[in-house]
Amino acid sequence: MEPTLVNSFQEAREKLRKWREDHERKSEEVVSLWVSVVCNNENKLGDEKWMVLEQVVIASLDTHNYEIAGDAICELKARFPSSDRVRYLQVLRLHAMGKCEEALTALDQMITKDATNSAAHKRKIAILKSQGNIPDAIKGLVDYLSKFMSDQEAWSELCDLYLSEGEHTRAVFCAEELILHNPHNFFVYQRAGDIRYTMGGIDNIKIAFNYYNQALKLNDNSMRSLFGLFLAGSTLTANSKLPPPDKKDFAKSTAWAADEISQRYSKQGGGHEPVELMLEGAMSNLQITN
Amino acid sequence: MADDLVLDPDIRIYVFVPIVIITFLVGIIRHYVSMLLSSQKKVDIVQVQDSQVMIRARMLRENGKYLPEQSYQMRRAFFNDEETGYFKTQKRQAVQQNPMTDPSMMTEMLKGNLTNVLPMIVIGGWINWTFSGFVTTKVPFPLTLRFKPMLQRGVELQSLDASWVSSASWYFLNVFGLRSIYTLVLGENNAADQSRVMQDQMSGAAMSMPPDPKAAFKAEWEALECAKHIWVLKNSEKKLFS
Repeated sequence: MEPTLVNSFQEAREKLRKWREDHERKSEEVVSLWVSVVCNNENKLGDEKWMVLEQVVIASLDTHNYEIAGDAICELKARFPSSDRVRYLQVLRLHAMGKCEEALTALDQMITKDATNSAAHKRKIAILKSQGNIPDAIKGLVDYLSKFMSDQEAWSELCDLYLSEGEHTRAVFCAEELILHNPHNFFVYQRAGDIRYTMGGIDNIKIAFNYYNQALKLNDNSMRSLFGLFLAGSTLTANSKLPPPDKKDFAKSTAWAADEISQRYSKQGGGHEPVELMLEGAMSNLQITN
Repeated sequence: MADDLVLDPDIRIYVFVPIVIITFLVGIIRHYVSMLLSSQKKVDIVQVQDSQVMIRARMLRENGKYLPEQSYQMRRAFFNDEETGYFKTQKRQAVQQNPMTDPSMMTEMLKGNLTNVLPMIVIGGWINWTFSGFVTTKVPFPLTLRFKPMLQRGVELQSLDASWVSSASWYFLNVFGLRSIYTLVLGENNAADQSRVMQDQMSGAAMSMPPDPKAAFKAEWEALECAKHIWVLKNSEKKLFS
């Protein structure tokens, strides 16, 4: 019995370390490992103990095991009584348990103590968002971004918040900010293309077309960009205000996109009815006519 | 004649190896002492803001060609506009780099000197005094006569080849040579790394921003003014089939 316990402790420790270093969030596995093996052998962890405890706190909050989280936080607080990092974990626990007011007060204190604590700022915005208070969350996030301008996670979040409020112009600003920081990632172009297409108007749809094109260049497996290209192209072709040579180019691209789409779908299987017809029918329902 | 010189093997046991061990151990002690003495670098929110702004402005310059004209101009105006632009309106104090006037930098310098330069001098002198009067080793490349007084302290022989060096120079060779071993033993960022410390002292106390934000802003402003915007994605519908 003893040797197998030791083995699994070592394995558990290795796994926890690997997940910590790879930033993987396997919360359920972490909690089960903790409960079954590691928690009885805490002292064997040595200096790694504190990092494992932190990992366990976050994992147990994810799986709603508040007692485990509370115990771990108590241990951490006993060892590091005035640490901001431990305070942050306490705030996480308060937020997870729904005690948002206390969490917000604690975060305000942390921010006054150290204005450069970006995690505290972001957690505050997350709490506001979870309370449904989107306008305040947006205000807080804009303020945060005026100080920490290169935080891509924040720009992405702001884009989502604006989209949920229907502010497309501002959302597209955030999306394009992300393009600046990640010009070789197809997804940022796809998102910006989606928003531009939704905004409507010839210029925006042209820009959306170009974005979808770039997204496809960077990743030609992206069905969404292909569909986007098709839609943008067909809207532009159908539009009467464009000069004919441009229209021809758009028409060519649209036809190519339609071909690609039907090819890929038929490769996937099915192939009962002519895919093109079905697609064209579906697509015409999605088109924006202006 | 110089090639025929054979050294007493006792030199190897009692001088050569002890100097290596002494240098190595002193380096490790220095590392732990500096870790104990080091203080947390407090970063100011304004400095963080400035460094982030610089990153964003640089991103705009480098990757602006992927954005349409209007978006690019909007952002450029944010930075460069005469009345409201960030680089124009943000006034920053020109940071005084004079160590005499800045007390916190003074203590940093003092600590740095104490942990690095002082032991080096003290131990170098002690080794020179203890192991004097004989040559320790021969460097594998030929040296000119100019190096003789420097490398052969205590051995005043006119005809001795300059490649034969005394123990003090072997000590200094060790100080710089054991750097990679420190990296192996102590991991990256170890404080026993002499040459890195000297580099730091030369480049100044640059924390997260170059010491003078005003100059950096001006440079960035100029760069943005000069940069022309060409939208690479324009007319991509033509390029799709060309």
